[in-house]
Amino acid sequence: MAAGTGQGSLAVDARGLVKQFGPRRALDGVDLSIPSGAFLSIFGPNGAGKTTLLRILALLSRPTRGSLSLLGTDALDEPDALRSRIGLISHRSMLYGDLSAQENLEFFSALYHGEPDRVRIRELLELVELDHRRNDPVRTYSRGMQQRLSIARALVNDPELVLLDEPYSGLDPHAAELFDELIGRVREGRTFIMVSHDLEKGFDLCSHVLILARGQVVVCAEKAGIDRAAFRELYLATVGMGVA
Amino acid sequence: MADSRNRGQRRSRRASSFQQYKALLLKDLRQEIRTREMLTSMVVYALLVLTIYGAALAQVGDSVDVVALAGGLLWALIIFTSLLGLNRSFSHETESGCLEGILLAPVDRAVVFLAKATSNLIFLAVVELITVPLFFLFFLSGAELATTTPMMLLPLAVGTVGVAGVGTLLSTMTIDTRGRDVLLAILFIPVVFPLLYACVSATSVAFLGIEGTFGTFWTSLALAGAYDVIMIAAAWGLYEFVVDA
Amino acid sequence: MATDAPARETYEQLSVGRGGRLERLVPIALVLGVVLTVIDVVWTFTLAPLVQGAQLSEPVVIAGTQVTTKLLLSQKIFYLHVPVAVASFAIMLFAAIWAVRFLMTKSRRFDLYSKTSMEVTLVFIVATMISGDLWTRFEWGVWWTWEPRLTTYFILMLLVIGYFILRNALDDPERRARFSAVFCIVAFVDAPISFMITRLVPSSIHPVVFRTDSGLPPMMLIPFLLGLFGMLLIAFALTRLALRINVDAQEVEDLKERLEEQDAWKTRAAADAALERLRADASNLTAAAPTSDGSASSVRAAAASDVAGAGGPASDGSVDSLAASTRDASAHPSDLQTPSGAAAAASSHSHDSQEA
Repeated sequence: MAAGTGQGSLAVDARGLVKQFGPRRALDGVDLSIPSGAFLSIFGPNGAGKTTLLRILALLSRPTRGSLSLLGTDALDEPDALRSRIGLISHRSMLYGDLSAQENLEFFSALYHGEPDRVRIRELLELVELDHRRNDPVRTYSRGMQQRLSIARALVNDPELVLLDEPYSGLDPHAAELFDELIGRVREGRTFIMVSHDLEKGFDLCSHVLILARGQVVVCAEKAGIDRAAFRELYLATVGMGVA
Repeated sequence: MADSRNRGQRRSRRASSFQQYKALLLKDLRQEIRTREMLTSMVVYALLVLTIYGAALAQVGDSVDVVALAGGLLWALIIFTSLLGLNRSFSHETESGCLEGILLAPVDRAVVFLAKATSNLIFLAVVELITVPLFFLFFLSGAELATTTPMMLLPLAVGTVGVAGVGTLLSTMTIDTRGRDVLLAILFIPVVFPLLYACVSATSVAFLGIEGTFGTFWTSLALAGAYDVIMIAAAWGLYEFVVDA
Repeated sequence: MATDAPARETYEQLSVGRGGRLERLVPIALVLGVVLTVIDVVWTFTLAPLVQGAQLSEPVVIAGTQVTTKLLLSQKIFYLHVPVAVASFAIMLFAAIWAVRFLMTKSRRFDLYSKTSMEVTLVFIVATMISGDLWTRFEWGVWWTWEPRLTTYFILMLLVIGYFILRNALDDPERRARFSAVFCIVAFVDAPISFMITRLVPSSIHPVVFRTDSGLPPMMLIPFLLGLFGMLLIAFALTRLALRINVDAQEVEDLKERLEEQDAWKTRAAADAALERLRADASNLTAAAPTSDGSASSVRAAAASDVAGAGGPASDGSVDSLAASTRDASAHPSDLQTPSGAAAAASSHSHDSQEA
């Protein structure tokens, strides 16, 4: 299991990813190399293929063509071996409203480990500061609390690769700040990939940036050495051109 | 919190398919026990259908042998009631993207199907436990029942299994569509028709209890069983294509 | 006809072996099919003997008429009805095969083939239903009876109609293709079971009407076989023609989509050039040293003040100004390095909120 988690190895290694149905290509030859431990922010206009890319990385969708290796394992050959090493936090909470936080986490933990890992669940509930409400139905939580719990949900299997799909949508600024702080605390030892429309937040958090337009990579680089204002200009130019 | 020290230990514990099946099933049951949404709505709906039967049969009095009709009426009740339940069975899964959360885990898609079909089967069985006695009370309490009547439990069991199996596949497909309630009925009723036909036949034979007709009973039952096996195998195999893009 | 290379599926590859050997056979098949069917019909009414109602397995009274002993002129419909029914099921077999191939390859053309076959199936099923219903009317004096074959075809018709309703209810083309392939297979498996069950479960009201083991005399067998073969040829030709029409229609749709894409850009070349320019800008960007912290943080401050407003409605004007800034940006790459100031930041944020 240690394959690909060492220093300097690649968390994501994609070559020529294409996702296509009919004439429309959601992804059009995407190459990606993301080192382990990086925080990648993906930017781009609507319909640029960001969510498609993230779904492929989450193994929820298969590329039409291309090769993909995650954490040193071929993702197209052995998706099941990889699934337990990947977590996804989406703008949808993926939680059952009628079950309590504890029950939700126990359910998802059992899917990964067979028996719910109660020690881990307690740690996670403490981490997201919801242990005082662990037995309340999730339906009664605020949006921000649900999003925190969904971090805990995504971490039940202790993933090495964490994907974030528009995690800020629907969060107020305070909740978003809390969210950032939590992500910072679980940052160590994991690779993060985030899709966000929020240029400022995405740029602040990340170590690598990726801009997609029309299913193609415009830029994929380390953030260090990139001028923020110039990056903003480039982003705006992409959003403007990304009609297709 | 970056406890990578016991990451290896944690990961070595991979869930077996049976454990995942149990987790999925228990989750459905727990949720239903808490909200009782599906059961309540199905039982109430069944009562309403019985009320409609009451009005529909009010004018015939004793001139019609209700026992001969009872098999058909009972199965119409079961099909309509299960349609309602099947429509709701995935509403919790799609409400906040939970189905996606399940699919993220290394779960065999057939296990997801099997767990959902089992929970649907259990809910349908519970509803039948309430509505079938009510049906007898409302429409057959005055009639002379054949001694073979309890044998109607066999087609009831075989039929419910088929309804739950086929219905789970079809309701997964219709859950995210426009006008899903109607669409499920449009797909479900023709697909389940052969099963319905066989079960009505077997149930009617059991109700009437005429000497020498039990060949029909067993033929119908065997055919209903064959339908279950073939259609559930097909649904099992195809489920992966319904949930995975 | 259909190579399943998973390669780039452009609109050219949708075509069904145009100009190939099968394609040239289509008109021949159609003509031959029609000729055979006409011979069948003429033979039926001139040479084939009338059939006694004894075709039925037992004496039957339906709607008050004893139907066993009549000379059945209406039986003539059998020579057309059965071939049509067989043909409809044969095409559905192809629809199911293509559905399986779609699920295996996820290649859109198999979805198109499967859908087309289902359309032709529907036509043939409706023809079967009409001819069968006419038959019951004249034979038994009723418009409808729940006889196994009629029932099966009725259910089959509902399944095929359901297939198209399902297609209409799904917006995402990929999901539409997947779900309809699954349902096509389910329907195809269901139809024979439906026939078996309605046939084998004895009903107290209706007898088994046909004896399948009764050998036909040559005078009846020959026109029947001619009709069957002719109808299968017609079915083949119609399916091919429908495929061709649907493939063409799809290609037109695809081209339209491409044109729309290009219209927004005037030309594809301009789009690619713009993307290239952006890439060039991007490489400039990564090469450039970071500028002073002051300018960056001022941008951040300007943006931060806008965060609170995120989620509010965005005016159309902001999009226009964005487009303008795009053109500027791509026209003068050198300008990229200068901080843009609050105006650009504001416009970016109104755009963000619009997308949110």
